[in-house]
Amino acid sequence: MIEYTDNELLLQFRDEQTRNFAFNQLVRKYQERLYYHVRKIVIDHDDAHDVIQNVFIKVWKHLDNFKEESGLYTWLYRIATNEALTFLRKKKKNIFVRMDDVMHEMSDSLSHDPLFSGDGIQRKLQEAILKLPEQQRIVFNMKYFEEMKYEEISEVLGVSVGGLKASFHHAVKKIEKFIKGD
Amino acid sequence: MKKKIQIEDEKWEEMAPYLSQIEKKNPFEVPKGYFDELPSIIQELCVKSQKKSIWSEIFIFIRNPRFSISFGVLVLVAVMLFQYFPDKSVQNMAVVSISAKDISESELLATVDENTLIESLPELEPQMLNPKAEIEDYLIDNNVDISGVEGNL
Repeated sequence: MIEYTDNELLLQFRDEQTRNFAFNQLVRKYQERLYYHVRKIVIDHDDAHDVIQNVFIKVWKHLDNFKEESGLYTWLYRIATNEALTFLRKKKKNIFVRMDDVMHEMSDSLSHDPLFSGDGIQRKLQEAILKLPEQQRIVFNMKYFEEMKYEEISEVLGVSVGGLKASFHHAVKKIEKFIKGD
Repeated sequence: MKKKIQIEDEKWEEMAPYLSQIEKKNPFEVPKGYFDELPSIIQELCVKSQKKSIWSEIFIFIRNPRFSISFGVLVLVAVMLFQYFPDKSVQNMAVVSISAKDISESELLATVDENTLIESLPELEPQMLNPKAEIEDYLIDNNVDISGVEGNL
């Protein structure tokens, strides 16, 4: 299968005749990376499926207006992150449910999720990550699992590189403490 | 072999001794064939969202407070105009549907001026102006014995 560059995909998308083909190729190119980024935030597969659909619908609607000030992948990542966080906030259902309770529920679901193949230590790691504040959790996932550079993460989240390094360090310390069992 | 992550400018094992011992792997799985089907699912949704967008734009337009207030005022004015200035064509239609046959002769005559009626009557024959003859005719027609009343005529 031919993999097109982002510029090629954008040009083809802007042509009515090749728009559908270009979009299909774009989805195939980025779906896995974006899906797993979302999945790490929302944990449940069905939720991730809902979110990723919303992400690509937004991409379809707004790709014409993409100004190429940042890379296409960064732009897609930003949409995916925002959609996942919006989804989590809606999951609270009402103002009397705390976000901590939502995270606790997600953590509990790992033990009986058939689409979670991690062993005990992997589950413990995920539980530790779910206890982190929102930004630290996202930064940790992007740095540790997705191995993104601080500059790339900065473009996605709009946070300075220094701030990201601090977030990541705090996240690692908290995870270490949790795994150690303190 | 455990995969060690590369953290830029940082000594990972010093920073995270426990975490560095954990094999870095993705523990999340997807149903079989998920990524083969996802592009077509998304494409279908995008086509549907395009069709809905026209209606949603109209809805958003109406929902805008400025326009919804103006729209509401226009509707109210239209209703008031209809109430206080009913459509005359409706009345005309009602009139047209009533024919002269439906109106009794007395109702027709009641609307006509008496003088106009008298003027329009054709000139009567002399015997028609003779009331006695008329009375006699009436009595005969109704089998009344005229001998009793003849003197009074």
